[in-house]
Amino acid sequence: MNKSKKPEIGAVVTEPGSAAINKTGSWKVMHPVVDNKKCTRCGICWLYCPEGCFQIKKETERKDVKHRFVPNLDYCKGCSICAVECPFKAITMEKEK
Amino acid sequence: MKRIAEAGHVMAEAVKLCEPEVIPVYPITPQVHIVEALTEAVNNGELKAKIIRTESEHSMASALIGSLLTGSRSFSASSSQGLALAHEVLHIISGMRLPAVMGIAARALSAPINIWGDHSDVMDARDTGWIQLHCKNSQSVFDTTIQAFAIAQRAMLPVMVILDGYSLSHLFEPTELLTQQEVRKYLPPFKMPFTLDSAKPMTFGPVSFPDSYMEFKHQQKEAMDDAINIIKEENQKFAKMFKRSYGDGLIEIHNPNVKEVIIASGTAAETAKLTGACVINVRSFRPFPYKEIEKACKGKKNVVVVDRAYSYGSGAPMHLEVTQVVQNARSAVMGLGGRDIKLEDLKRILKSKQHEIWVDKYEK
Repeated sequence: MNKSKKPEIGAVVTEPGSAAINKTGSWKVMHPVVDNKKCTRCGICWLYCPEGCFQIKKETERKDVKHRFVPNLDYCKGCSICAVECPFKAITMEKEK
Repeated sequence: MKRIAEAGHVMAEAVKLCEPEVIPVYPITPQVHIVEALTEAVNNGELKAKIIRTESEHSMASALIGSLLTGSRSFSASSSQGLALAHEVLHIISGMRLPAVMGIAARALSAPINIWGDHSDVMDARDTGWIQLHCKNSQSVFDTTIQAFAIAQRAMLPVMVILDGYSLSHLFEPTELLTQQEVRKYLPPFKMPFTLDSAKPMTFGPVSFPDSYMEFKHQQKEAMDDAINIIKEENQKFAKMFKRSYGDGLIEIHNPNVKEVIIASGTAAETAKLTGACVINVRSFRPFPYKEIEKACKGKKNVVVVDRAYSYGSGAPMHLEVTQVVQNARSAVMGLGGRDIKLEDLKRILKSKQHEIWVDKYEK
């Protein structure tokens, strides 16, 4: 719900795309950190993430690969599935500050 | 135009004149004559409405949500187990502020299974956020149904029009009907503030977090409080146009100068008039007319509230409401599961000193 506006009758949301305003990852206690050197770009984290948080972005540090997997922490709930499933132990979970 | 007809058919006639566009239906006794008459009217071309035959009352109530969101005036009817099955959707309809109108032929709830009239089903639905209007006779069924559509539209709240199962729903009485032109003059065209439209997408029934849920529920409370005046005003407007009114719209007082009082709703209030006592017929159970009842009971000596339902572990529902404003009111539980409410029983409860009486087996 957009708090800046007066609530409409019966909680009707009159503008489309309101789900994008709501960042659902605010309550996580752990977040994944990807070790870019260990990562082989196998895509298991991208496939297993139940929230579809891993986004494919352009690689800027390494020259041998073209892309990298970056978790979108606005929606990540910190479930650790990516860290458990990573075959190369390239993902570690760190506590939220 | 006067006609002798069954009150269930009278309700269907009133609905027909209000020209609903969608009628989701599911049969249950004793409500079934209402929707039977409506489906026949659609079949005969007298009413241009879409009948949706659903697989349960839960689906019937859900179909009401969809049809109202398209901007169509919608009606349905139910009873007893059907209303109980639709219970969770009733909360959704009122929370989404949809002006549905439902006819309820009030009936007992199982177990033990019983198809006859009492108020168990509608009292079970009293906290669903629906306006609840009780009818006393066939004429009030006709008038209240038409008023209900106007009240629902103005308050943006759903309305139940309640007629006692069998003792009213299946009763034949002469009833003064209105013409199509007269009803069109009284009832404004149906309009929703927001409707389903692919050209302008919106979200209906979204999740509401702890930071907003209370605001929506408070809006609903305010709407229900405002409905007190809307019901009164619609009663006045109807009286002005058609010369028929129901007290102030909320309660009707018979014999106001007598000191002994029977408070009841529906057909029981009509029988109670024969005792010669002052009778307060509670037409609107939700919103409940506390102020009006307090005023009507000022200076009265002996107040008895007749209920046709019970809240187990607590008390009789209407008695619980009345004691908020009339502390020494006594309670009489009568007519459960279709048992007759007899004149001699009503006379006896007035004389009794017992605080709560279950007529007629548990009297001291």
